[in-house]
Amino acid sequence: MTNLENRLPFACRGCHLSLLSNLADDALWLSIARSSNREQPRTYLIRVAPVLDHKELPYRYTSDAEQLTLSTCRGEATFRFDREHRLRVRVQGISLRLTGAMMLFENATQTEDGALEIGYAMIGKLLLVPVSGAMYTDATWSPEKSRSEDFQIELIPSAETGCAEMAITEYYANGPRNVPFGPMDDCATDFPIFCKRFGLLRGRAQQDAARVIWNNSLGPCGELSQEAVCRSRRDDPRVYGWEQIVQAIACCGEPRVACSLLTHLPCDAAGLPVARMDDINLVFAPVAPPLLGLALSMLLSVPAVEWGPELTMLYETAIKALLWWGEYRDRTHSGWPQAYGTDELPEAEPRLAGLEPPFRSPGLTALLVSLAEGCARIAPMVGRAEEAARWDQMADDWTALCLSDMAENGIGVSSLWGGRVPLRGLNALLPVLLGRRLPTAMVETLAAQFSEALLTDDSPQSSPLADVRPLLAAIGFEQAGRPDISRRIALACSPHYEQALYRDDALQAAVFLILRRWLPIDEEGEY
Amino acid sequence: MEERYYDPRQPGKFNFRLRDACFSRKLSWISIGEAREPDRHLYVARFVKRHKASVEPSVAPCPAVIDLRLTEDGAPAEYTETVEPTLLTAQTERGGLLEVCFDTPELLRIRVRNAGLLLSGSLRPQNTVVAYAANAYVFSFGDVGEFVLYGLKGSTRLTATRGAEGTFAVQALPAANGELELCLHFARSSAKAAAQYRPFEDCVREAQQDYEAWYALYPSVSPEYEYIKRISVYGIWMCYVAPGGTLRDHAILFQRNDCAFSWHSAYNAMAITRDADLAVHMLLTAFSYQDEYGELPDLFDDSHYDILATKPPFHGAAALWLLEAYGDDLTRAHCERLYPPLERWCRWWLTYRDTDHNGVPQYNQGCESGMDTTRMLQLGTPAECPDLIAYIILLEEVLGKLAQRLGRTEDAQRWMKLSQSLTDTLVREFWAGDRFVARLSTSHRPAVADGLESYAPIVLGHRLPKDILDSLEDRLTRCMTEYGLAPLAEDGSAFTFVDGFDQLKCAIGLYDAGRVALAERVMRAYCNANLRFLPSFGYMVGGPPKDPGIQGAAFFMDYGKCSSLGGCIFLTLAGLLWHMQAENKETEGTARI
Repeated sequence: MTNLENRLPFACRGCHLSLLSNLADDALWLSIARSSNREQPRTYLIRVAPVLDHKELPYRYTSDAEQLTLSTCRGEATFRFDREHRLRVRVQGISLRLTGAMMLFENATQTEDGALEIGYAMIGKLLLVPVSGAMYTDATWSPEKSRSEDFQIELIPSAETGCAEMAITEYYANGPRNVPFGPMDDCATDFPIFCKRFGLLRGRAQQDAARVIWNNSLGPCGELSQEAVCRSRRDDPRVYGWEQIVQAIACCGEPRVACSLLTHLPCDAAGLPVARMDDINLVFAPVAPPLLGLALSMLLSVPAVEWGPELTMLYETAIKALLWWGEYRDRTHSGWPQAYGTDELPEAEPRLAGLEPPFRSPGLTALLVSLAEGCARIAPMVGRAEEAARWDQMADDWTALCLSDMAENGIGVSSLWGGRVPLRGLNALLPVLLGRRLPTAMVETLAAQFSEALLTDDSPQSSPLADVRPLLAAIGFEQAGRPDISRRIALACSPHYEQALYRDDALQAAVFLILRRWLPIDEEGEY
Repeated sequence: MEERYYDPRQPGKFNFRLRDACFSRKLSWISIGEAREPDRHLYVARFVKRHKASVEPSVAPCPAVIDLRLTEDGAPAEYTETVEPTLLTAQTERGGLLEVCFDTPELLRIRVRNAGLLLSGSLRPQNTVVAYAANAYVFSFGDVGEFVLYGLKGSTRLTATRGAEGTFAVQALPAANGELELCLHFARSSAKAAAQYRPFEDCVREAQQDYEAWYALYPSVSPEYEYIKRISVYGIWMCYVAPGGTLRDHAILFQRNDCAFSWHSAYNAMAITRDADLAVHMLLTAFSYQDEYGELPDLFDDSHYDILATKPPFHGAAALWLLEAYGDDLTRAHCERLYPPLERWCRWWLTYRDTDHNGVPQYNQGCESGMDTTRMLQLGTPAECPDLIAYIILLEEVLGKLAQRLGRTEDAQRWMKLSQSLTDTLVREFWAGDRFVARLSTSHRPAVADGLESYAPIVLGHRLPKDILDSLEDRLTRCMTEYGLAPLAEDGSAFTFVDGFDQLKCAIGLYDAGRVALAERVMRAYCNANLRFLPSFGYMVGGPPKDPGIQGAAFFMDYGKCSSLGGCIFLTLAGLLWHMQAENKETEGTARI
């Protein structure tokens, strides 16, 4: 491994298959971004290595969004994705060995046309088709073990050309066959087009952040009715509902794309958005803090957007979420929505473990105020102006409760059953999410409390949002009229998010790109 | 524990042990079971299969999410339970009484007299238990789902420890008059208490009516099998679950704490003899996850489906059975529902599982055969196997018959021709004089296996030539054990396990071929094994001489007891036995006249 960008998987938007390096052995592996078991992910399925005369060769590789090139002293292998999402492989002067281990019931079956289908339990299947040269495998089914034996496959160049090609297709059950193979050199991705959603990308880091998000964009397929962004092919290839909101904020350069990310995730019959999902599974717990209002405010701030029916869909999504919080997180109709666990709070405060839920928090309330405000702003835009007053009233009521509580008791999280934990550090700044509804004096107090040191607190990850709290604070300060604080947050945090994106973390990549909003950027994209 | 009892006048009145079958009901995703460790107690379960690749097959661990313990003076009390399909009771020596019933499929009603009830369990990270009001709690268990506990009578108190290994306990105590009543709601998410609740007795009565309506779907059986019929029907009733999560249609789970296997719906459809609409619906529950290419998954439930391997296309045999059993009661509308998915299913086999394009389908791996360790694949894969060919012959035939009923004459002729042609190929190329053999695709190198696997095409019945039937009857007779037909290897190396799939397949084939005596012998032996051990996946004869490891004897001990699969195979065979006896009586009567 010579540089950070090489740690990024070689992948393609919409495709579950990728080629990535195992940080443990530094080898390249074929991987399918589908995890049946989060506790025991099987990221590394088939090891890829160049060989000559049956011996593995040392190699280096480089990759960008278009191609991965594996170089040895005797030849090279190149990998590209074609328009059908097949991984095309070409070797020149060397052979390529693929080695895989099989688990119970899994199979590697050769077919008469020389292809090989490899099936993994709850992960998917790979169809390896030789295009030129020869492909050999020792894969055999073992009735005693009820699985195929561990296998090796070799792609061997023809003696005449010194070249061989193979195509690898991934699918969960079945895939199209006999689709002709165009020239491998014609393979091109849509990465440049994809990047438009992020606006102008300056410098390598921003390009790489966009590539991380592109890499981790999956669907539409199965339960994913539209494209969505998974956390990380390498570590957790699932789509988290709340993270799509951050991804949507990142691509406000194309509001309709952002809108699609927000509106196509499933929600349950009561209106609760999905917690996490992939193309074959969806789960509604734990409930995540309602960030949608922030996305609405960012989207609505984009000038000169000619909204179509997607805005109505967004409105429906938003009011369902709003009403869910009003009903299922205020079951006693107290008028003040609560969190049933620390996962539901934007505040990441370990001392909350000693407090009995349900919790009332200024951060959560502010997020709901933002959501209600967003609904009220959209209602007249979609011809439902008469509903706006209801959402405005909710925002007013929750704001009043929150301000009154802070005035009486200071900034803290309280339990419905008594007890209160005062908030500190970055958590204590989150009431700023009330934005312009916050009294000026309080904005100034929060601004005065801000220091860059607060951003590096290493409190345990007691909230899923722990890593995005600086972003929340930056948005809040901007909306409260103090973009200078937002800028300081962006300046202080960007290096951290830049480093994190090279762990193939699409969330961190999105936050990194959002923070550009407040950065003074020179032409090289340095800050 | 009382002995088995049943009330001859009320189909819904009979008892069973929780160690044999859990307490649940139709359409529900929750159940009540009994644990023995660390002490004997009841638990509420919502089973979510944890999928992970493994080296050995594994049986799911205890799926408890909320433990239930009757308490007296603050300590757990010993109890004696009585379980009927719609009411579970547990009684302590000091007069404490717990009663549980289902109000709706996802609402348990719990009534306690003269005792307390402790509800407890463990909390994994991100699980929560919250008291949101007095006597009202939300338990959130991640992908397992959410429960709301609502106290109607008595009082409750929550204690919980949170963190990496959290626990919770809700101690419920009776009111001054000794009464305690709780409602436990379940939902995958957003569970909610009701505005009001009806009387407990009404819930029991309605559930009982529902069970009895379900019972009425199934065939009459000999009186000695009446108890087994009831528990079989119960096993199916409680495994028939509602759509939800990623599941778009109803499904029939294999057993209560497992998922659905796609070919089981065919067996379940065959058992329903008194409602054509429901029989067709049952058959098609497997097709809820049929993919765009026509393939059915191996297994599925409301949170996943696994399509690594599919399962054999037994649906053709089942659909033919329904056509025969229902005659004109199987309407054009039924045929219109059956034809498209069955056609897609057949075409998938004829394209994606026939890579040498010779019209003979193949298995690409052992699990697709339903017998994961099948010796038919001993030479490798892909392999053209006689059991699969027989299933496809029947599938093509039923497509022909359905097309005929739908007025699609050309399609009908084409399917019937394909079916006949494949039958000819099977007889000509796969019959080896005393058994059927498999062969590798393309090279056609034959793979010879022992025992029942080699006789599987008996399911074709009258479609096979007489000499083959004679030989198969002779061979099958040698496979008879006290519990039915066993896959006896000629070298005696395999364990002797009599499974329901084989009995049904062979019995209906023999019966169809007019080999009635052996068919009756098989069915009688298997039904008697059910009577002795309760319906199950199958029965071990004389203990395992050798456990071959993968899916060996140890795996099958107690596997599928009171499962829907065990129940429907028993009901089909016992129903056919009853039918045969009735036919015999008619014949005898005629002779006497």
